[in-house]
Amino acid sequence: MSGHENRLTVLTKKPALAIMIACLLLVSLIGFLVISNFRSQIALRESALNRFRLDLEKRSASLGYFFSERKYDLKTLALSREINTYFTNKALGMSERYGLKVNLFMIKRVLEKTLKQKKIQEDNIYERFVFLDSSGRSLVDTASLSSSYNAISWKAIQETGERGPHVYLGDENKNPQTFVVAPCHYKGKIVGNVIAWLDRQTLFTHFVKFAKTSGLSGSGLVNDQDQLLNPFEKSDQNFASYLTSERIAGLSKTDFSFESVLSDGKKREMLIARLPIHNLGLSFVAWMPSDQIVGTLAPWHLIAGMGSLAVFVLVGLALIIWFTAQNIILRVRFDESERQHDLLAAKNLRLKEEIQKRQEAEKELKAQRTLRMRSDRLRSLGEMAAGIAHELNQPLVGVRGFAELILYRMDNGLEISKDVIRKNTATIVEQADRMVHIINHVRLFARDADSIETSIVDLNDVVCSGTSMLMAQFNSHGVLIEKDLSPHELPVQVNPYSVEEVIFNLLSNARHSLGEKKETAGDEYRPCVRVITRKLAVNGSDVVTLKIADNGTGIPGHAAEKIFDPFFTTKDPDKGTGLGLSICKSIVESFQGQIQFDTAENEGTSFEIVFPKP
Amino acid sequence: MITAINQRQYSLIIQQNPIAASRCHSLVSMMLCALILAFSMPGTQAFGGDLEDVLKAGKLRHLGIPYANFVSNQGDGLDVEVMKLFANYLGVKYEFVESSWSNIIPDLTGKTINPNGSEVEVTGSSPVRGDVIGTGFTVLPWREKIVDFSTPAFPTGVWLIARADSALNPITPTGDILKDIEAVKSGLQGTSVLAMKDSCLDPALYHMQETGAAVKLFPPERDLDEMIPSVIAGSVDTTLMDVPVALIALERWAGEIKVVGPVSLQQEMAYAFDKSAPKLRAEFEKFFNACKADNTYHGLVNKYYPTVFSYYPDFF
Repeated sequence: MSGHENRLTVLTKKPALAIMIACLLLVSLIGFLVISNFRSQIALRESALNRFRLDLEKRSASLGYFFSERKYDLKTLALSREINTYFTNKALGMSERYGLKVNLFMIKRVLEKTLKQKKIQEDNIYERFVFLDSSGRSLVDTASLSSSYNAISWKAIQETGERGPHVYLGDENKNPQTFVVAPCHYKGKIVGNVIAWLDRQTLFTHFVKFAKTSGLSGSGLVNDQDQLLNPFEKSDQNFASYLTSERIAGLSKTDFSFESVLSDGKKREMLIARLPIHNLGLSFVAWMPSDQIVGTLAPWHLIAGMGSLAVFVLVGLALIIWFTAQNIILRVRFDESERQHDLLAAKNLRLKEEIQKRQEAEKELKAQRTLRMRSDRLRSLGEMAAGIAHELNQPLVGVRGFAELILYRMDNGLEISKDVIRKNTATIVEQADRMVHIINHVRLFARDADSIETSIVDLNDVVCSGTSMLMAQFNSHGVLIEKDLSPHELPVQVNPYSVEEVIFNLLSNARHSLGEKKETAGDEYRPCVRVITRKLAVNGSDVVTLKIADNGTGIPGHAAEKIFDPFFTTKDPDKGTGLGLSICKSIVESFQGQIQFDTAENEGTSFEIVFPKP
Repeated sequence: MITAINQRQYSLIIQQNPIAASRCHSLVSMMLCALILAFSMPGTQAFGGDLEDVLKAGKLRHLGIPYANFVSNQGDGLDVEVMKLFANYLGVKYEFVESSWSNIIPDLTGKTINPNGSEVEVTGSSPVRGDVIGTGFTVLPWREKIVDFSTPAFPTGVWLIARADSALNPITPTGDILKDIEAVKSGLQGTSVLAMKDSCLDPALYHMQETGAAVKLFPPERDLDEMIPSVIAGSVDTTLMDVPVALIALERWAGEIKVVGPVSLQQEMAYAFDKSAPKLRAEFEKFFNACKADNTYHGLVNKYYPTVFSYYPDFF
């Protein structure tokens, strides 16, 4: 397991316990929250009910206050100076024809003023006032002449025996009416009544009706006979009709009552409250679907929902943790990758530096090698010098001989024909051309041996040219060069001077080996170097071979593997640089050729060079 | 018209130029003054002129007496507003000229008078101070002989008012006002009744002396509105009072007074013009009919006498 993987393992496994603990704590917390929320919801339901109850109580109190105000209004009117004067004047015996009409007019004016002034916001509180005498005769009526007050039962009012203002709520002839009656007293007797009809619209809109009613909700007033009046609740008439006097009588006056009803085919639980109005025989009744107050969710629904939500949250958290862990792992891997990348970049940089150093070293080595090669070539040239001199000497002797012959005859007055002169001169020119050729060849060898330019040449020509320079020198050392050249043209794609350098090196090594063996061998020993060219077919391909074999000392076994290494030599330091064979190998390989050798100690060495056919 | 101007010039000379007046001691001045006075006497009667005179003078002089809600002490009242509208209708300025019950007809006609029952005697002359009477002026037979009334403008009558604790009991209406009047008068024996001579409350008009009651005359220089307080104060047992004032009094002194019953048939009030001003009266009739047609007059009556509609629903 790598360090990187170890680190990942630590990262993924180490916090597992902490995560488990955190999850357990989270589960506990969510459980606690669910239970707390459940209890809160229960408390909220109770609070909503209490709030609704308080609202209804407030409405009931407002109604009580409202009716109290109205009773006060009527009491004030019944005790007004105008009404009192009427009864006073009446007691004095005045008649309507002569005086009481004034009082009645004043009473009417007061009643109309009250009717006009008493408002809630812009709505009239009163609808109508009637002033009655003790017999129930209408003396003043603020309504039009055509209307009457016979909708109420005067007898019933009289029979109540109320001595103070009182509120009546009636539903006679399906015409809900709310009116306040205040008896008028004169000298301790009830002598008349002031009756005020309350404006139903104002009363129910401002005090009874809910501001926003929907569906089955509604409200109304209940009189002392348990009759419900809600003249303006159109949307809840069904339930209102359900609330019969018997049902209303059975409603609790201190707590909510619950009734189940069918609405649009669905069973609805209705919440009903009946609140007595203070100091009146009336009650305020309100009903509303319980779900509008406490919500549609039952507690067990709530806790189930909360539990599901908690599970959902936990799963979500687990996924988040898992994704986070994955992210951490990826992050670590990414960091490791970055680190490896940096390391590799550093190594690359170092490698580049080393490559640069190596290239510089190789460049220097190449320069040195070039220098050595040139030196080695110069040495070869030096060794060629005897051969070159011999080559040049022969034509030079010929030139001198023919030139002396012509000179001798001319000096001694001997006749010399023009043909002879011409023939000798032509021979001189020919020999001179030969020498120019030799000199040019040496110069090209010195200049172009390391050139990379190649051309297709006949290997036999290159061999002849190369060996001709050394032939004289080898002969002078008693070494025979036997050339066994292919009778066919052997075209190769090479630089001929480089190949000549190879031939020089191999022949030079052979001459050295032959010289060493000659020192130890007997007289019968005949040092010989054979130069053989052939055209062969190897593996279906035509190749051209050049073999240079000597019968010298051969290469010692320990040195056989190193002969192509640069600077490896078995010669004395002043006799060799150790670069000859390595140069030969590099030259041959630069022409896609191969060089190999075969040696046997004291028997000789044979080098074979194979060139591909161009 | 010339005499009116002469009178005005005379007044200016006397009131605004005492120096010039002092020079009247000279013969020439005395002659001039005598001449002016001689021309000015008949001009006094002629100045309560007709429509042309009012238009030329550029103002309508309203003769009135502070009385009930017809002419109030605050400068308003039903008749004040009607006269202001009439002046506006004529395109002249309005001027209120306060008078009294004994002088108001001389102030209009320039004649001093002595009413006697349904008759009236012209006893002399007096300055004309106004063009029209509007002060809840009841149409009486003797008045019709000295002035021209407009069409009736307001219903009225005379009631007998007593203190609340008076022994007199209000009558029970019979439906016949004559019987009611008789019932009222029959109970007055031994009581005192307050009345005002030469007004609509003149006891002679209602033959109060024949009832056996002690008639007391209220000083004409005092306001008629003070008569009921006199009853409340106990100065007198009862008082005659015209209905509009009684209606106000019943509101004002509720519980302190009571209406015993009527002493007259239904009467009417109207605006009075000098008999020499038929054009002015005719112009008023046009104006008044327009006021009634567009309910302006109804609105004014409702403003000052809202209860009167209860008693006389057919009048308006």
